[in-house]
Amino acid sequence: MLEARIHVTLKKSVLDPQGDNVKSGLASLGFTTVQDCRVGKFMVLRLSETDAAGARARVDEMCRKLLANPVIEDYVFQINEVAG
Amino acid sequence: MKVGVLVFTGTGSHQDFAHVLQDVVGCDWGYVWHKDTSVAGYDGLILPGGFAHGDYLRCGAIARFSPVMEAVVRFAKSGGPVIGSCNGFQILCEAGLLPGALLRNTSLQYPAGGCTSTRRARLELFGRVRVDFAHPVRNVGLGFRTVVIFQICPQPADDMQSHIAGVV
Repeated sequence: MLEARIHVTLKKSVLDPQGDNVKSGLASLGFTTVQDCRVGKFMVLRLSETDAAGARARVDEMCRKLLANPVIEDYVFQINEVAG
Repeated sequence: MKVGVLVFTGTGSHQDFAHVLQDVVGCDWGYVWHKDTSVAGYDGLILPGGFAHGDYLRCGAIARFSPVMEAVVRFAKSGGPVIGSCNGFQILCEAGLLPGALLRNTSLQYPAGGCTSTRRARLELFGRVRVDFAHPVRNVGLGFRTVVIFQICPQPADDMQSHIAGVV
């Protein structure tokens, strides 16, 4: 069985008010060394596929069509073999 | 004239639109369920507000692939008028029928108040219109030229890139 681990993040040029607010929250807890915080999404897909190259192409298409909004987000993913 | 009001799982303001169409405008209307595959018989469509599919992943991202959206896109591309309000606006952005993408408000405030038609909208489209809004995700990121038709009021002078509340 294959597993795709996907990170979706805001493009560097996009402001992240959620990240800024998390940083403020950390600062109010006393963690003042945090210079920047950006919040993204992490997804794990378990795939009933055996061909890694094919899976890679399909996961890329999933990211482009749904999992990320290409106007404002970037994505990276890894495909791993996992025990069924 | 018959107007279709789309209903997704999690849509919230469809009854408000139905009430306005029936009791204020006085036109024929109907609900269109998101799993329907046809919008035949309708002269205009409204995508109401709410939290379609729970706003999961991104607002409007999953609703954008509902079976009815193929018909909505065909209708819009053949010149049919489509209005997206609030979450409906988000769905139309995700579907590529409106430009840009919606980002969180930089202040993280949940502003609510009034917005008014822009000068261009007043002159070229539909006169002075004032609409109320409330949403945490309305900071519109636009990558290219777009006609802004509503801005949060009071309107900032000459600043068409900010306080955007409606686009065509």
